[in-house]
Amino acid sequence: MVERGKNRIEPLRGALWVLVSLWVAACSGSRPAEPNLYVSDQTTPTRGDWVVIATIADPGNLNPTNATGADAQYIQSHIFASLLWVDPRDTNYPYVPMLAVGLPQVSPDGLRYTFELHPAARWDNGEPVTAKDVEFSFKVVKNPLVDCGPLRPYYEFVEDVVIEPKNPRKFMVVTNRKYMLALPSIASLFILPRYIYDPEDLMARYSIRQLNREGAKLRNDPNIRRFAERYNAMQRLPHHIVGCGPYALEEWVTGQQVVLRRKQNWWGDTLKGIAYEAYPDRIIYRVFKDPTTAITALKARELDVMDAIPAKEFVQLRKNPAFLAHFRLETPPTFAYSYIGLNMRPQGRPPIFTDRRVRRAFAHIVDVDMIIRKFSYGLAQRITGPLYPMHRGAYNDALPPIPYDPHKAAQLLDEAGWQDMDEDGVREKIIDGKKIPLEFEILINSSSETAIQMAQIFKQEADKIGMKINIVTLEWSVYLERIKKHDFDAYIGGWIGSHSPQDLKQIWHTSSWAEGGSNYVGFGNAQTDALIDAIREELDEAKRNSMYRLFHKIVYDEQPYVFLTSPLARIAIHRRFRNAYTSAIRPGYFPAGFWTPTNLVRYGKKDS
Amino acid sequence: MRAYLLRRILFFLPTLFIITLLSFLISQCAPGDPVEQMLTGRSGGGEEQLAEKQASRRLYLEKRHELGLDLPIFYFSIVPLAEPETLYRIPFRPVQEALERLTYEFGNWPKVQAYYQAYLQLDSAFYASLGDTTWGERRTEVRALLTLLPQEKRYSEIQYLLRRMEPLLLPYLRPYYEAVKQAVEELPRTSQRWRLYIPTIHWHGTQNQYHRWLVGLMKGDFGISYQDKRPIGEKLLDAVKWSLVINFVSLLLAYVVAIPLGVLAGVRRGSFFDRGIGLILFMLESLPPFWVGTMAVVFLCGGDFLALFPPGGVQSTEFSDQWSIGRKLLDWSYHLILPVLIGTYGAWAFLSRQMRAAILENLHQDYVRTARAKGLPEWLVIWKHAFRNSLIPIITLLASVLPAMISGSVILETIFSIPGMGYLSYGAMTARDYPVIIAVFTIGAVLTLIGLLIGDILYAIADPRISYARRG
Repeated sequence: MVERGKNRIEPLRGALWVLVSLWVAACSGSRPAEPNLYVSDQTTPTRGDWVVIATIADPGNLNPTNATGADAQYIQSHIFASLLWVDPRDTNYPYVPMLAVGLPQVSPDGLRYTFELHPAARWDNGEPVTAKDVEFSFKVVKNPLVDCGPLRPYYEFVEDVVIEPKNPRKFMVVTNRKYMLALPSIASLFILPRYIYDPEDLMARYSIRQLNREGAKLRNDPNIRRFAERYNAMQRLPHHIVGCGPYALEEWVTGQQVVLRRKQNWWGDTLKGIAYEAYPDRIIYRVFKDPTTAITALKARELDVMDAIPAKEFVQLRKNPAFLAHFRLETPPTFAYSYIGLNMRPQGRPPIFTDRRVRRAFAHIVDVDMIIRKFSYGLAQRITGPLYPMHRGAYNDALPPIPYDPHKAAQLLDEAGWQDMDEDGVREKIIDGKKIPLEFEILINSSSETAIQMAQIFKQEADKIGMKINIVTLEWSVYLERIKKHDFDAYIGGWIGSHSPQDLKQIWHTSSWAEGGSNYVGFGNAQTDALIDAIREELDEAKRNSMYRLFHKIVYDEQPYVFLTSPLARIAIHRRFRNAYTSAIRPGYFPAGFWTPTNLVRYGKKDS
Repeated sequence: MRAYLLRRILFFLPTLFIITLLSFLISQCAPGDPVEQMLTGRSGGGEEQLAEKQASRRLYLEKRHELGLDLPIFYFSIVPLAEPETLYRIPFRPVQEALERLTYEFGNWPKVQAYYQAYLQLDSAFYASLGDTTWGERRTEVRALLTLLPQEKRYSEIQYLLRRMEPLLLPYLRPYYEAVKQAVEELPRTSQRWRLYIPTIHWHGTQNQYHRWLVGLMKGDFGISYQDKRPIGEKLLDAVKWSLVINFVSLLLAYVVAIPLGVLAGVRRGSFFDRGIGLILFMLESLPPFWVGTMAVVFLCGGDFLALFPPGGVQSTEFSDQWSIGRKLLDWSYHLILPVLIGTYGAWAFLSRQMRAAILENLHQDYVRTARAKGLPEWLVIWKHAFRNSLIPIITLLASVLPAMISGSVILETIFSIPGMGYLSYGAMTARDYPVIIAVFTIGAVLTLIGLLIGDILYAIADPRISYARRG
């Protein structure tokens, strides 16, 4: 499944980090021997058993288009099906068939995508899934009153769905421009049953083109309103959350657990392929808001899977043989990173980071390896730019990480004309006839304990080279407001992306600096903008990758960010499961594929 | 008594009103723009330029209207004569704040408005010119300056931004630019600062945000949660049942244990029992429940030591609706026993000491001596006479317990993953879900009021000496 979330800024979660000595990271390599209690000769998968997964929050709303939380999305991926699926085991993240029989035919101009639905695909009422359902699903997203604001922009480029007259399973999605993320967007849309969501066939009266053009006018249309009101209220009840995926919503006790039940005769049962793997009889998401309690439940084997285990606890679990006898610990990489943003185009603030040498000097006083050891307990990797090492072709691995070197930093500041003229320990520079001290603010989200501690280390390091940092901690919404208004010198932030090719526009295009985008630091010029636009329109992966590598190099040279770390996921999975692979694709594990050898089944032996 | 009650209830209403007003005001002070909160994830990059910008702006305005945020805040406002009465109509908080600041600086709202109008025209002229190829590199710069301009509060900075914009503009945008510049320059010249010192009242009628919120509240409509877009009333209903169960049992347990202990300690004052119980209970009280809770989870729930209790939650993974009622009850009690105990022990020391002190005081009263003199057995003297009269402080405490019962314990519910009110408010706080926080706050305040009222009534029942009738 394709992640819908575009990059979003994320507070470095305020877990309680404690400094520990360096040997923790060093010894994590030598694990204790792992005895195996869960032996079986069985090699062919069987259905049965349950998977109990810890989740940090109640999903709140499971409406197929309106739910916003990541937790909701993981649950939905078992209930609803999309045209294609991503194979998480393959690090090229290829698309594989799900509802569609195969990858689409793309027209030479890259504007039309022709799919054919699988003839076996059925709704729960036995009716086949048809192109009309696909068309309907696009219309739902485009209904201006449906509460899916965050999702809608991803489908703005879809102009029409043309159904082949002779084959109700074949259709062509027409787009209005060439866009590298067109396929990922189309492929990941949940296909919805009309008989559940629109029994009166209200949306059939409008075409997709009409919804695109007359969106504003249609807001007052009684049918549009009637559909949206009913649809938006379908959030939680089992008979409202219905798709053609292998699982059905069985029960939802708010704040406690969400229970998914395997459908008895699912259309995908006879099909081969990773998207049709669905072995557990039940998948249960149990809510544990407190990580300590969740870890206890894990140790007590009340839980089978837990992810996002706090790093400190994770390294302890790694040394706990009693725990390791029952659980595997996995650390796949993640599509996320943290960084220090430097304001390259300050408006009404001192022009400090306008000079590339000063930005680079800052990078030289940040000891990233120490940060990984002390704050991430070794569970993170270094990155040198805005791309992810998992995207092997795109990530420019020829660029060496900028070393911790205060000496070099001081030298760069000298070159840039910052000198301590009045010998007060802080460098100054004459700009436009005014003497400006090398003193600046670094903004931090107040709930991020880690970021605050990191900033204090930066401050000490900066003092040594005549740079003065003032740490400003702000409540999240105030912090965000100031960053959006470019009212900062530096800030500590993070981005979460996805496995699909990265659209650099939101964070790096100058238009995203000018008006409310996420290029808070003001990076870019005509050249980088052109590069970003070219990448967006290039459908050929190899050509795109060479441009990505070039872009990576430019960002590396410019240092608009001091790139810190990309965290590793921290997942525990019970050993009785087979086929329990992990991946950089969130959530990192794929419980529908888990199967348990018959002799090791734990739950539900009677009722299946 | 009846007159007293009536009086209390009459006081009750204005207090209630003030409480709702306070909650509402606090919600108004919450940082961040609620509309932005509802629309988070809205498209950010300036891709389709005018069309997209207008679309997202329209979405913003519609949502704002839907939430009633384009209405004035209260029934009336008392403001300086210079205060712009139509300021609330301006969308986007930062712009609103900047224009307000300018008005306070120059005391001339019509002129500030004229500046804003001129700006809007320049802005739309700029967006119409986006396709122009002669812009080149300058376009980005101008776009940024135009975004910043209306949010700028300082007059000198506004002039600075305009000066920077001037050389960058295309020739045909000049007239729009000149209009803005002129309007800005006119501000200090037409300054009417005296208008800042004359107060005036604007009457807005019932078309205001507070009225809307209050009417909703009375109908049981607390609004919509930012987090999951569910009606808040529904969320509260889901949560309140668990808090009620846990707190009711806790309360019962607290009194059932503490009262006899307190009475016995009082009767055998100074004995080994009295001192022993005192020591134990105070030791318990000094152990903070969040610590004991975490320790209990780690050591008693199967993590590292014993597996006596389940680690959190209110029911087992295998729980099914087909279970018999007895089995369900058993499962629930098994899950709730630990949080209930931990939520209770802290109250024992306090309650039993209160009880002990009250009993001691009463044991020296004349009527106790009389009762003893009558030859009543000692247990009857204590439990019938002294005890009843010692109940007053305990009742006071009971009155304050009602709101606590509903509001739940944030810490315990979070540690034990019980989806009660405390858990809900904690979640709401971490997610900045202000409507939920305010709803919980308002309910808590109302229940405190009701609790106090009930307490007053119970006093009269417990102690015939207390009478609320007017003497004389």
